[in-house]
Formats: sequence, structure tokens, C-alpha cells
Amino acid sequence: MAKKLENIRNFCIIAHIDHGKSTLADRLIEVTGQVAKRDMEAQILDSMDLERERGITIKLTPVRMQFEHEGEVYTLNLIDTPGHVDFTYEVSRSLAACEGAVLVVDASQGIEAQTLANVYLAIENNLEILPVINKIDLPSARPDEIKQEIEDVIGLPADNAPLISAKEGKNIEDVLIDIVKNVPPPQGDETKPLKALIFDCSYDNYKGVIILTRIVDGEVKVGTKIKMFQTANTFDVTEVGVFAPSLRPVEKLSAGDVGYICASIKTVQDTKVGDTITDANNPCDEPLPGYKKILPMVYCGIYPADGSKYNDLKDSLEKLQLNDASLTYEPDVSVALGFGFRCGFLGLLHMEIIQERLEREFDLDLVTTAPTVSYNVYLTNGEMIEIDNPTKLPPMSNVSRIEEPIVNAFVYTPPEYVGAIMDLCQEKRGTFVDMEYIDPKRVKLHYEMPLNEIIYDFFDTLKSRTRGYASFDYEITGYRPSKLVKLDMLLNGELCDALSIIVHEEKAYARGRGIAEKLKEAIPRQQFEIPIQAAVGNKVITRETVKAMRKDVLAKCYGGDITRKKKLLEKQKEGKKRMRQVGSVQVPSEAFMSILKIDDK
Amino acid sequence: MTNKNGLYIHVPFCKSKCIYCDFVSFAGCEGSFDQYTDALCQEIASYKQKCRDKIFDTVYMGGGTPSVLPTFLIRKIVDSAKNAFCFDKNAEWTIEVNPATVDLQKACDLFEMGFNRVSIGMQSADDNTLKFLGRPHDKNQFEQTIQLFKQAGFENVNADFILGLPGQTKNVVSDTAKYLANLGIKHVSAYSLIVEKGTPLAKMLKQGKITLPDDDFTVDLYDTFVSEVQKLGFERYEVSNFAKPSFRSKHNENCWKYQEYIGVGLNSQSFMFGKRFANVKNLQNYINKINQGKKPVSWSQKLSVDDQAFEFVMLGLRLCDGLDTKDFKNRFGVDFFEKYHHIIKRLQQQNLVERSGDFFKVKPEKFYILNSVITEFID
Repeated sequence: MAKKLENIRNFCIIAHIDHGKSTLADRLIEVTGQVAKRDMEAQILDSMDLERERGITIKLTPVRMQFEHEGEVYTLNLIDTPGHVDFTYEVSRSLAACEGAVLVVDASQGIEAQTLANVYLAIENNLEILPVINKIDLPSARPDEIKQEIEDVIGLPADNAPLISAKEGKNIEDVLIDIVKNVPPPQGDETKPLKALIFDCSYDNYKGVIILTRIVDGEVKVGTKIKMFQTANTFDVTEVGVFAPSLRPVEKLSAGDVGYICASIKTVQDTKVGDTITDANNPCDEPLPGYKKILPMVYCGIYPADGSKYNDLKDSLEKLQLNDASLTYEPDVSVALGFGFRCGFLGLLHMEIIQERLEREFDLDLVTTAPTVSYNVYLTNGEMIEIDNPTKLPPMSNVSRIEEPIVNAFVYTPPEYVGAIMDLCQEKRGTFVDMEYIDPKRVKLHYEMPLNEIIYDFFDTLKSRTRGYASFDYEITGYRPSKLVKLDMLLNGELCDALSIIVHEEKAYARGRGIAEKLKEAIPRQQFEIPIQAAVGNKVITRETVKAMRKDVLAKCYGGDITRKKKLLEKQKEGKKRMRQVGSVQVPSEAFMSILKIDDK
Repeated sequence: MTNKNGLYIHVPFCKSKCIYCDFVSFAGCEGSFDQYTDALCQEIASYKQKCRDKIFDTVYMGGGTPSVLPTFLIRKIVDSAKNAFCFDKNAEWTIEVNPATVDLQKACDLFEMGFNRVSIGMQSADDNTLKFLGRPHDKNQFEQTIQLFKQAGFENVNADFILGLPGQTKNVVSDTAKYLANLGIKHVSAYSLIVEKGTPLAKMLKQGKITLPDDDFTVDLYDTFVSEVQKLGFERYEVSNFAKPSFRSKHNENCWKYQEYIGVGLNSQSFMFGKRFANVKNLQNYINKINQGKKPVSWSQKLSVDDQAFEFVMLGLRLCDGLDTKDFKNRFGVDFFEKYHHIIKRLQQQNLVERSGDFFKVKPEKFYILNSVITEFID
């Protein structure tokens, strides 16, 4: 096994969704013979079903490959990166574990906005960027123009970029040679005290937490007492190894290596992405730079649709958190929805992923409440509290002001959609900052916008108004005072806490009306008339009515109808069981979900 | 000996198929009449041993349109039934007929065979509506048919009426009630139109060719009808059935009072020997099975005590008198009010039910939401 630093190459692949990142990774693995072809399942790196379906990477899976070139055997470590704006910090940490990045560009579509964001991130991390032009087998391929585009947009020479077709396995070896020649070998000193970067971790029932790490200096082996810089906790290493691509134990990991460490660690909370591992008995002086504590950006309530499944939900969240330190949750009680959890997420996609995993992998039916952000609420007594749950907002008479998180939002779009996007950003309370032509076919719009507006249907609307051409990225810049109010929904005069939201004053009426209309459709007629009211403070701003039910039986029922009739009634009963009681009103679980997507118009 | 048993005989033939019908019945199958009748008679005969200690007090020949069968075939079926089962001498014998399928001779023959109740499918007293529904008769023919049966000696006559049809108004409905009373009808079954999947009616609705009155208006129509027929001396004794005093349908009442019955013929369902079971739906399959000496049963379900108790409640509450709690105790050995204590308390709080002597019933003004009441009894 090549142990010399000069023969190690650590790299990642940057690509736009469906520009072929996973396919290229599969090919590289195949060519270097890590996986027998018959075991190849398309897109080996994306091991979660969800990832394969959506074509995005959520959990990282590094792969170690051996490649022989001009008589030398090289160890190539491919470190995968998550592909979404929610996970920018994770991307930056995995980039920090590499010296080079392969930039995959579609030969007909060129560079896309999201790719650009990650390219800049890679450049910030001093990575050598190797452009690769993929899908040259397509009739619409225009590799020469794309080369020019790469030079113009990113300022990278692309003349020698390999022209490949990952799908057909064409010129894959060129990429490997390019990596060997142009990605710098890692720097580092085996003799120095251990200094290693945690860039991800996962949980295994038998091994405990599996830390994915890049060793910067020193070495680590079974028995090393390691110490985490952030938590100062120490652990005895039980196993070290590499990814081939499944876990393969090795004797030791040393400077320049990418691999994994197990140390009977019980929870991922002890292994923070970006943290530095050192030797407890021979610590390094300083941690690696760049560690940030991850804070949730988006919150929502998650409740079991069937109240008796609370403990199942709790167990499932615990299990998910083992693998995902960025998921936070705490028990919460809603009058309408009973016992559940207030959960915090990195962003909307992260939230959707967690919800979907709970439903799929743990077979749970969920009721979720509208996503919300964390507000800084300044009370009249001078105190400041953070509120991420509308029901916890104190009465407005005790509030002197509320500040909401503001983001720098960047929308990348072909010029013809600029008007539509400006309208949308305006509607979403955005403030125009800047507009820049990246090239004649691409505009970058910069707005300052409340995060509160972004988590409410911004992305979907953006996609639909630009036919999917625009892409979007944001970063939190700070908090700003805003005229925010709590919008409550009353059913038959009773407050339904699970439906409360915090909105901008000017949006309260439209949102209230939208929600009331949705609820009117979703709540079945009952034995009495049900007024549905939206209220701000004590003031009702809009009202809908569910009329009283008048008929549920006028049909006949004779000897031949009994079994069928019974089944019908049992079905009705099943529906009733899924209802939540809000005061005197039965509300189906679906009603709570139906308000999450509302067209403001 | 149990003496409250019903016999249902299914005749799956019609002159033509109505647009709302999803029953197992066929138009234009005259060629199968003989074969089917033979199979049916064999099935009836097969019950002779099993039912020898049971007395039947009702017979209901339904369909389809049994009256499309020639008299001699009907007689054959009746004879085989009389041979296989023991009938109470005052048994109620009902036959369903459609207007314009019977002449005076046939009516007299039916009377002479033992039928003493006739159920006529009127459905509407408006010729345009009848045409729309695909009924093979007009209003005039309905009136003639009634006269025929009266002449033949039938006193106990039922008419079926559908509510919630396109264009139906409250006036139409109350006029129909008066019309039926004037004709001397003793019993009316009034149903709201149910759109069944796969019927031409469902297709027309989906294509937007017709619109039906909404639920609220259908209830208004129903209210109008109920109050009108009550004024005319009919008593509402079940959700959708109305009778002059002493003219209730015994056959159906037995079913709601949870008495047992045997159904013979294609797709007919039975409730006897502690289980529910049903015959096959396919005509040829039915005939073949019988000819091979096999039972034509396609499914059978043994009922647990809880199943039975729920069915008892589900059916009993359809009656205006409510369910007989004494009968409940006799059958299941537990007190109805104790067994369902919590449910009853909740329903009482909602003012939906009341107790009257040994009977437990849904309040008349809450009858429309009977299903909501019944579902409370499902756990």
C-alpha cells in the first residue's frame, strides 16, 4: 500500500445536480477496480434511497481507490460533498479535507449557479480545480464553447480539461491521470502530534459513532487516546480504517490519509463536524481553523398522526439524530396535536428530508406544523428571548419589538426571468441590493430578504415562475426589527395553537384568508356550523364557515347490502380516528398539512 | 323451531339496464332463463335438509326484474321453494315487478301462486325523468300495472321512488307523494340517488353532461317528501321506508331486526348459521357450479359475538322505533346500556339518541346523521 504522502491524492467532485457527479464517481470506482462490476448498483455513493431518488447527496461516503500510473501506485481518496445550500458548512468541511476538486460541467448546459457557489467555496479552501467536461456523447454537446465559458466565468484554464462521457465510460482514465498529475499531494508530518479533521460522522449499531476524518499531522491507531477539541472529551480508539468503499480496518491512519475512526462513542453530539481530533497524551497546540457551531435555521412541530405513536416518533428521532448532529428536537405539547416535538433544521430541504425519512424508514404518519424561523423578541422589561414557536410568543403588550433573521439571497437566472424574479422578491419583502451579469446568459440578483419569507413557498414559486431555470442560494446576515404579528386561527371560537404563525403585519390578512379557505375545504361538515376565523390579537380579520352536516344517510340497506354497508361505516370510523379534537371540532390531520402550501393570490 | 326466517330469491334479468344500476342483473338474456331457473331450483332444494327445523315467514323475489320471467318459470321456482322450505301460513310473499312486464293473467297467476305483496319500480312520476333514467316504461304504464294487480287481488302494493334526481323540485316531490297516496299505494320506499362507480350515470356526471342536486338540497327534498307522506297517513318506520298502518314490509323489517335469512340465486347474500355468505356473481359460473353439484358460494364470513352485536346495532338503529334492548340481552347475554355505557352517554350529551321503554333509538330529527351515531359503536 502506498504510504508516501507524494502518492496520496485527496479530492472531491463538484457538479450541478444531474450533471453526472454520481455517475462519474461510479466510473472512477469501477475503473480502479474497487467494486466488482456485478455488484455495482448505480450511484454507489448515494446510499440512501432518498438520495438516489432525488439525485442529491445527503450523507457523505468517501471512497479510497488505488490507481497505477507510470509505475507508481497512487491512493486516491474521493470525498463526496452534499449538494445543497442547506449544507454549505458541511461542504466547506469536506472541501477542507481535500487538496483538489474535479469540476464536472455538462457539455451542453455549461456551468450552473449552484456549481458556481461550490467552486468559489473550493477556491476559498485553496483547492486545485480540475475542470472535466461530461456528456460529450450528447448531440447537443459543445465542448469548445463550454471550455471558453469555464475560462470566462471562473477564470480557470480549461484547454486540457478531459472530455468524457461518464455514462458510457469514455475517457475516465484521463480524469484519474489528471488527478494524479495536478492535485497536489497532502502536506503533513507523521511525526508531529495528532491533528485530524472531522468532516462527517455516522452511526453504527455495533461500532458506535464512525468518524470520517482527514489526518493532517501525526498518526492514529487502535489504542490511541483521542481528544476532541470542542468538547474536550476523550475516547480510546477501537478501530481505524479506510473506505474500500465498505469499511476496511487498517493498522493505522497517518498524515495525509482519509479514513475512519471508531472509539466506542455513543452519540454524534460528541463528534462535531469541523472539530479537530488530537492525541490526549500528546496534544497539538491549536485546532484546525474553520470550526463553526451549527445552528438550526428552520423549525417546525412534528407530531404523530396517531397520538399513541408518540414513543415511536421519539425513538425514530433519536435514531436519526445518531447520524445527523444538525437535527435538534425537544418535546413539545400542542393543545390540538397532543405530544410531539419541536424540531430544528439547517434549512427547508433538511426539514423535508427528515420528515420523509421518518415516514419512510420508520413508517410513521406525521402531522407537521408550518415551518418557522427563530425570532429575537425584545420584551418591555428589556429582556430578549428567542422564539421559534409561534405559540410561545408573549402577548404583544409585553413586547417592545421583534427582530427577524435576514439573509443575503442570490438568485442566478437567465436574463429573461429577471422581471419575474424581481416581482417575487418584492412580494417576499426583499430589498434589492445588486444585479450583475455573470455572462450574457446569466444574471446574478442579490436581494436582502427575511428568512421568514424564504421558508414560506419561495423556492417552489421561484422554480415555477422561471420554469426551473433560476437557482438560489442564501446566507444569514443578521437580525432586523420588523412589524411582525402572530396570526391565530379559531375554530368554532377555540384557538387552534398548531395553526398559529408569525407573519409580517401586511401579510396577515392574505395568509389568514388563505389558511381559512384551505381549512374550509379540509374540515368535514359536522353536526353544527363551524366558523373558521383568522385573528391578529383579539381582532378577527377574516372568516369562513363550514356548514353543518345535514345528511350522512338516506340510502337503503337491505339484506344484500349489509356487508358492504358495514365496510363503509368502518372506513368512516377510520377517518374519524385520524381526527384531532380542537375544542368541539374534529379536524383531520390532513387539514394541518393542507395549510403548508397556499397560493397567496 | 325458529319461526322468523326470510327467503330471498334473486332473478338477475331485466328488460333493459337503467343508467344508475350496479346490481347483478342482465338485459337481453332470455336465452338463459330456463337454465338459470333450473339451477336456482336445485340450489333451493339443497337447503331442504339444513333448514328443516326453520319456519319461513317471508319470501321476497327480487332482482333484476323477476316479472320478466314467464309465468311457468316463476311457478317452477315457487313450487321448488314450497317443496324445500316450511312456510308460515300467513307468510308475506313479495315479488318485484316493473311496469309493462305483466298483464292481468300474469298478475292473477302470481296471486294464485301465493304472492300477496307486490313491489313496483316506479322511481319517478315524470316521463322525461323516466326516459333519462333509462326506465323501460312511462307513468301511464305504471298506473295500469297498479290497476292490474289490484284487480288480481293484491292489496299490499309498494312503489319505489328515487330522490335527488336532476331537475327534481320540492313541488315535484310533494306532488309525487300525493299521486302515490291517490293510487292507493300502501308502502313507499324512497331512496336518495346513489351514484355507483362504473355506471353510465357516473360517467355522465364525470363528463359534466348532467348535474345533480347537492346534498343540502337532497335533504330538503327528503324533508319535503317525509312530511308530505306523513300527512297522507304513511308512517316512516325505517330510514327510507314508509307504510300505511299494518303494511310494513315484514321481509325487510326482519332483516333490520336481525332475523336470519337465506338468499338463493346469483350474487344473493345470506345470513344464517351464525355467518354471512354470498353466492358468485357470474351467471355462467353460478349455473356451472350448481350443475356440478357444488355450492355456488363465493365467500363466507363467520361472525364473532362483537361483529354480531355491532350489526344488531347498525341495523336496529335504522328503524324509527330503534333497537330492542331486550332482544339484545337475549341474544348476547349482556345489557345493552351497560355494554355501551360510555358511547351512549356521549351520544346523549350530544342530544342524538333517546331511550323509550325497552327501545333505544336515534331522535327523529337527527335521523339524517344516523351514520355518525352508528360509527360511534365501532371501536
